Amino acid sequence: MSGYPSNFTYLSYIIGIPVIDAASGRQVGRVVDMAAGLREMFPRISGAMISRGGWNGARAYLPWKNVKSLELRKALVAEGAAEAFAQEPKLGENEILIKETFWDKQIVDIHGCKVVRVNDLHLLREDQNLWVVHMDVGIPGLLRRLGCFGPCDWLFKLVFSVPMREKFISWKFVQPITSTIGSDALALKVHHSKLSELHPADLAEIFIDLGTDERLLILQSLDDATAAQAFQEMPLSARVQMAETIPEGRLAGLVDGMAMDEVVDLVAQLPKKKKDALLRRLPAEKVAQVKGLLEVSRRVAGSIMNTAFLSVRRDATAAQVLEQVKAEAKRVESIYHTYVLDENDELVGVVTLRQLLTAPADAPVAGFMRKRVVRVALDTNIKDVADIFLKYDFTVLPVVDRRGRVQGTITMKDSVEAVFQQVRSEAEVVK
Amino acid sequence: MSEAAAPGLAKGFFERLKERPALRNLFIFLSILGPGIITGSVDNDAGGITTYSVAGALYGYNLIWTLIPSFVALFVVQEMNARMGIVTGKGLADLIRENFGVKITFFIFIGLLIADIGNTATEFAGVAGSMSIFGISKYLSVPLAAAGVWIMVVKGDYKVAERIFLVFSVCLFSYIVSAVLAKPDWHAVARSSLHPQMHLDSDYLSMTLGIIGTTIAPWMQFYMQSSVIEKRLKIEEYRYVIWDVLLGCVATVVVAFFIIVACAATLHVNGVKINEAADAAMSLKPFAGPFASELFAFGLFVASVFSATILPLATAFYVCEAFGFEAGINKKIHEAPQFYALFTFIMAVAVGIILLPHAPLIAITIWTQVLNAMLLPVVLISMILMVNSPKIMGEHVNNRFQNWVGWITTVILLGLTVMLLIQPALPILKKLFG
Repeated sequence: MSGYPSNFTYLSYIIGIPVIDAASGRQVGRVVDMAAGLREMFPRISGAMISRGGWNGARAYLPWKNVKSLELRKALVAEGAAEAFAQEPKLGENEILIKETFWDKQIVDIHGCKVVRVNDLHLLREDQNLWVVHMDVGIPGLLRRLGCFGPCDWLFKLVFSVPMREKFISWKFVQPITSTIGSDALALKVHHSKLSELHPADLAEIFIDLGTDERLLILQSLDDATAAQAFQEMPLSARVQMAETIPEGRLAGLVDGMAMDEVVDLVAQLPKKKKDALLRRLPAEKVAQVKGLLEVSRRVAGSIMNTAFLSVRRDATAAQVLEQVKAEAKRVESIYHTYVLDENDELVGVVTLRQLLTAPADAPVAGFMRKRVVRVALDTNIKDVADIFLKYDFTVLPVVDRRGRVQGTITMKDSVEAVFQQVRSEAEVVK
Repeated sequence: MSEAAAPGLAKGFFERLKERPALRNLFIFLSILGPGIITGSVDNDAGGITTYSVAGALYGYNLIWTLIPSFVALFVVQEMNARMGIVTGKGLADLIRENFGVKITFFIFIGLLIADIGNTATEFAGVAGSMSIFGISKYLSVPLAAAGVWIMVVKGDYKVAERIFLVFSVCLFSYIVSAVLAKPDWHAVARSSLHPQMHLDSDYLSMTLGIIGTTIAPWMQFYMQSSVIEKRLKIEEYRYVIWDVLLGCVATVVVAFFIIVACAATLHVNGVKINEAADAAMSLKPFAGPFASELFAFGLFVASVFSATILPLATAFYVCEAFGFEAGINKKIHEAPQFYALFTFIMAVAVGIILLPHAPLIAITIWTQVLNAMLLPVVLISMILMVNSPKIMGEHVNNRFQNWVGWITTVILLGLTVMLLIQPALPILKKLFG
């Protein structure tokens, strides 16, 4: 067997066993599911769902405190088991049915950042008390469910001289994502979403691995900022597909937290009805920007730039600029570069965060800024933008209009992505 | 989507797209095209071509009528798959596992695995047979084809593979030329398509079941659904998907029709008996000329390689999906070891069977078909149950017509299978109780 002491057991050893009424000693039904409370660190078994059997037979809820004895794979003896059928089966405030929620369903393994399918549940047993401690996602779990673990394990030992490896995921790293009935309640019950600990890029991958309903469920359990970040990391096609199913109100919240260029890409591909509904819910200035950028051709700098950047006047001191960086750090794409503008808003220089930190606090930026700023125009082709990045080793470039006023910035990542898409689509046959 | 080189031109093109809905729809349709067509083409694999050729040689134009119900059933089933894929974003294997539990899943998939190893062996038999027409030994053609397929899948890129497959699909139309060269009597074709003559002997029944069974194979439902997901289609694009599915079904049935016609016009008229597709290609020579025969063989070769790629791939994919292993052609070998191991295993066993001297090919083909026929109702029933569940499909559940066709298809297939299975037992029962 596994390396665990014998006070561990599996859900598959309990599901389906006969339920004996303690008073009469007669069998009244079978265990079809177990209820667990989510108040503690590990879910504690608080009841059993029993059924008379047959197609859609009567079900009843049996509180776990009534259980007299539990013999694995044999029988469950409980007081009042016969009377339990007199009441409607109902779950408590914080209870879930663990078989229905987990068996054969997908969960997110926070530790391994991936989606896995649950074969069985691993329970800790102390006298009559049971806790859910692990999700069993290994082959042994699968064989146990099929009821042929014993012979298979024996054969495996015979051939490889080691027992089969169990694969468990601790409850601490489990995020359920079932889309069964009452799932909205489940998202609330597992109170803080463990998913927000993940890197947005990992979250995006998890999103891609899931079905439509599960994506929405997970999205509901995340705050706007986390969701927007993860959303941004997904491939555009998957993002559009997902956006189509998200309610507009929520989508507006997400879009508000996204970089402007990403918003434009998304909006450009949404179905018309969805697009209009979304734009109605966004702040007016954002809508104006989106509409402006939508007009720009997809192949020029203007279409991939971000409109949130830092800019100051020539006479601002280093200390003032630093204050401004702090104040706007949340809003802008890059805090490392601050662009210096003259009274006509034309770009005359750039200062880096390093310069600001090392310059005397009262020195005006005009004194230490770099005057020759490499820049691209709104209508510079994105391939040329990428070339400039390669040549100069910059991470961010400013985009200016005909009169030299800064309109936005492009990061190296955006530039590479844009070109890569183009290069790839040119290599492909016309779709 | 790629755009024209000059921005001005591109703008003009997209302006035109915006103004002309018909053009725009065509454009969107072309970008969605793929899953249905490819599935439809894979469907006419070596086993299918064998069945159609034998049907044409044995019964002439008599069995053409079966293509009409086959077409309706195929279309309804594939459409359900496409819809489920788009709405849930999940594969059929995933859904079966989640809604019917692990035991049913296990039985379906063990059955499918065995059936698909048999199917893949049939494909390689097709490669061997078609290449022998060109005088190439099977000990050369089969390992080479298998190695080519393996490298394309393991080292290749799905996008490239999909393109190659689409080109492959066009090659299947070589059968039309073969059929025309056979100079069939088109009046007789039309007559027997519209006024079918039914027989109730076991050979005729098994041939009918064979045609329907080869047109709707269990693994196709899984393949169709996962390729729809792979394309990341939106619900908005659903109406274009229907056209893709329809086109795929039409392609399947059209190719099947011309194969039957080609064999009926030549072999049936002259009373030639055949056992497999390669025999059909051989026997065409004296009646329709060497060119028709070679075209037939070429079509068979393309179809076999094509399906020998998709079948093991699809099988490995959905078995992994059902049991929770990483899978997908876009994953590296170390990321999805079980998937690649299974794919290689299916290929190896299939090639091994074919390269055995005196391999019982006919028996393998027949048993594979029987397994397919037995699994199909199980898969169809689970599909119809799920596609009608509002919990899974929301507002996109089946309408009454779809349910009727779905259930009728399932019942007919079940009935035919049962009849076939008890047919040999009837005389024995008569003796016992007669």
